Amino acid sequence: MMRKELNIVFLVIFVPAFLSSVWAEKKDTKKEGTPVLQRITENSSVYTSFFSLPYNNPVMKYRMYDYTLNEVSVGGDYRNESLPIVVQMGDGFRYGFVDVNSFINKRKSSMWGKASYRNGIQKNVKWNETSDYLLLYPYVMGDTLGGDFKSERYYFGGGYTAESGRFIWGVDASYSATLGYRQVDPRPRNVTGELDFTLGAALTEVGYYRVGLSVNAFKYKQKNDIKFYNEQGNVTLYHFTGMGMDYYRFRGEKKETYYKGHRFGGSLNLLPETKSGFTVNVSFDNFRFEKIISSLNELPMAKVDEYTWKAEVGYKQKNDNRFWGMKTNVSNNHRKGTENLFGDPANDIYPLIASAQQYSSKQAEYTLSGFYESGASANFGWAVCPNVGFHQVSVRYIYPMRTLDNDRLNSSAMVRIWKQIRRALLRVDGQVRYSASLNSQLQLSDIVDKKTLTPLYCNYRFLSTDYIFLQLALRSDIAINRRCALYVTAYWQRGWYTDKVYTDGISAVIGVAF
Amino acid sequence: MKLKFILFITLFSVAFVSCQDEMDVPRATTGVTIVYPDNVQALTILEETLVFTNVSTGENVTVPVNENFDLPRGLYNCSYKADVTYQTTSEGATSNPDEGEAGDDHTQESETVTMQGKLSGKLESVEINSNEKLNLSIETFLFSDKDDFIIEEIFFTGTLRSSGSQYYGDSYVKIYNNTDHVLYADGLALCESKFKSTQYFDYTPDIRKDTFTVWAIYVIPGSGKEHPVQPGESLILCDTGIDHRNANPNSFDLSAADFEWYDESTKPSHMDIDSPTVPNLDKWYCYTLSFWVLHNRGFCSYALARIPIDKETYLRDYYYTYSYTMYLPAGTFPMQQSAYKIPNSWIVDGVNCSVEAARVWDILPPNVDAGWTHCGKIDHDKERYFKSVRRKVAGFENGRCILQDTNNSSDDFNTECVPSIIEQQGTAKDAQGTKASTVTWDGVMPKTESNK
Repeated sequence: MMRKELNIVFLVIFVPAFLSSVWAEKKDTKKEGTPVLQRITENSSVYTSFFSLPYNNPVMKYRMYDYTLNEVSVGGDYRNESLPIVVQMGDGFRYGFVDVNSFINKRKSSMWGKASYRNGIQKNVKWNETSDYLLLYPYVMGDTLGGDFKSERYYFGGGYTAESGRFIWGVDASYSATLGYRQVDPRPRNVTGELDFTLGAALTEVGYYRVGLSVNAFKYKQKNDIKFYNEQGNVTLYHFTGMGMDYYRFRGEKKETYYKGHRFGGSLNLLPETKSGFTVNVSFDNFRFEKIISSLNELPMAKVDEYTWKAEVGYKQKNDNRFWGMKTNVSNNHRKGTENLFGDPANDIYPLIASAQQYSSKQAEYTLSGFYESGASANFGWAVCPNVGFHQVSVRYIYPMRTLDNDRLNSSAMVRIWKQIRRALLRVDGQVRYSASLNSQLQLSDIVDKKTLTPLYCNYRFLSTDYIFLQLALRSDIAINRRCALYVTAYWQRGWYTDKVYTDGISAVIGVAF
Repeated sequence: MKLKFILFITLFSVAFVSCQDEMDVPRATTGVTIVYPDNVQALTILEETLVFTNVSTGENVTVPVNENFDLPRGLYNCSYKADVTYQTTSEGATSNPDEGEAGDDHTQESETVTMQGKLSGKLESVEINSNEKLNLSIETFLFSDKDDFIIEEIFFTGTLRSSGSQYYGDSYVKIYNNTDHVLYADGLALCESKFKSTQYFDYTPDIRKDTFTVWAIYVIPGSGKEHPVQPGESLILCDTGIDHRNANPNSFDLSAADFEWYDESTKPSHMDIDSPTVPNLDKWYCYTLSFWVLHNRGFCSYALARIPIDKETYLRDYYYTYSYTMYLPAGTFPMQQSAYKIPNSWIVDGVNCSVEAARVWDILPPNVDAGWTHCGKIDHDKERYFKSVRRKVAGFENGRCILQDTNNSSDDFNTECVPSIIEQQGTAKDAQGTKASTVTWDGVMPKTESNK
């Protein structure tokens, strides 16, 4: 069955994507003669990807990369944590995946596409039976038992942007679907769907700059059902409401829920038309979702209203074959959770009698980053990217009052070296990340149920400690001919937390670039 | 430059904007009036407690009785309990017969006696959600001893085989003579509610306050004096009176039980077993066409009743039809069903059972049982097997155990106990076959040499 599904995925998504990429690459008259290794080197340069926020607007991807480049890859991703850092997401995962990535420049337009299929296991997930925890926290359904969580994810998306006089317009759309399940009790079966659509417009040559505007809409759905086959019965299912609290009234056997949400947002962007100049970007979005317990006659248990502001201001400069840049990023996120209160359920109808905003999570992040890169288009080059940031988290549960505060100082430094030797290109990335907890406080009052505090304590333990991560990534490309290269990448990561807790991550990919 | 300036200003203004949180949940002011029973003289409150339980959060808040207080808005259950003294009038001889002369009349004059007792009352599903002060009133009931049998223990969950599968047939109910004189069990009916505590509809007619709607009635046979029970003694009414260890080594022996409920099944695939060693209860009515088992997830209420009329009259006159409406996503469905009813005045003892996570209402009203008890905390709780609810010991009198009976099973019962028969026989108390090694009076208090 699984093999059959895989074949369908290949036929429906990858083969057309692959063929269209080849076709587009042949039609790319402007850069047809550029060797593949040079295209890889330039498109993956630090200089190109240093600014990040403007590229949420599709019009800013117009000529984002100098060269058309397509990649088809297959690989695996593995992570292991000696203790789960976020207990609701398990203590590791194993995934296999197939990816197609494409960026195509044409005479007066750019287009891009991505299709992927991922299949694997998230290990030892506890206190959470809902997919997309980071999107739906804290209103997930969970239990004490948990276990390995299998999932399949399908993604395909793409965009197009074109120039028309001084005006650029662009569109980007993507759809992804996930099936998450477990084949032993408790048996969640989660089906998610995400549809994302962005429309952008920009005016070029405003001074030396491109000024853009984008609007974004996102729709989300998840059907989250759990079954138990054990005839003895089942463990307690909790509908969590944050900070170790759960909706006490609906504990037990309410096993069918779904989530529906949407996000609207937009951005304003300023980006230099050339390789050098300032960028100023600001984006805003409002994400809302509702958790509904289907097994209680479609009861709307809680809703979330989240506001996110992001800003990026930076400058980068090209001097001959040397590049440097600096930027600052600021983001502010405020998630408010409101629980609905229900009256007497006569006739199986739960009348809504009141609502109370109980949960609040605020996050603010301030980051200062820089880079220096030498030889982005040469046979040998290197780059260094330092980064320092301050991250503030403040979570509140109103009644009974529970508070969590954490301030962190984050820093990292990445060094990249690459060297082309005849038909081979070797790239090595080494990075060290250090994060120090400057201030951390957890205050709980009126503890009703100690059991449901377990995930809070587990997560707070790692939120309040320092950690250091080492990462090493290798990529080797062998040009088969002028247009096409085979490549392999290998990635290793190790993280150390206090109390001898560590994490390991390994991934390996083999692919074709053309 | 102007454009840059505007963007910078926008950037730094939004970066420091954050939305304000609520500082507290919305609250409402509430006051409670306690309505004391009319027919009690010189009622004096010794100690009283008023507790509001937030149905959404499970939080218990003890509030002052005659004052206003603020509570977070929501749905509440409210219970009132009080230790009281009251006066009652009893017939008593006021003249001493030894002192009078022959032929004198010994006049019987009433005597006022001060008694100790317990008051209880409750409100269920109270919506506290008003901008104005909410005034509530709780009707209270004085516990009165019916001078009859009480339910000592209900073992409804059953046992498990070593494979983990459920085993049926070894459930039982123990009834107890808590008085100081002999009681006769003849004619005592064991009843199970038709309604479930986990689902409530607006029934028409709503006769819950005065009657108990049942779907199983089994009566102890006898002419009136055939089954005497001594003070402090019990009777075991069981599902199937056989040695269940032959079929399930994790079960126990019920071949010496006092009575069993036996059903002549019309389903060949689900036949009941008629034990040769245990007499059958007289089946007046049961809903099932196969055989009756106690609701093993614990959603039903149970009662002992003295039905003062004969079987034929009862079955003819106490059958009623009720209607309700089911509102489902698929549509609205008017429903109509029929059942037997038992007037609450016939009930000598009753126990509400439910599970915390699924409980919606109490089937028996507060004047029969002002509380509820449980085995398991959620529906289908896998921890509930091999456990029973057992009435607490209140004390001992001349070597006789007095069980607590305040008409509030939340207070009167120990929950999730090792069943008494498992303790006495030292049989398995879990699916792994772990033997019970402690014998207790009530599931908690061990039997020792000093209190045996």
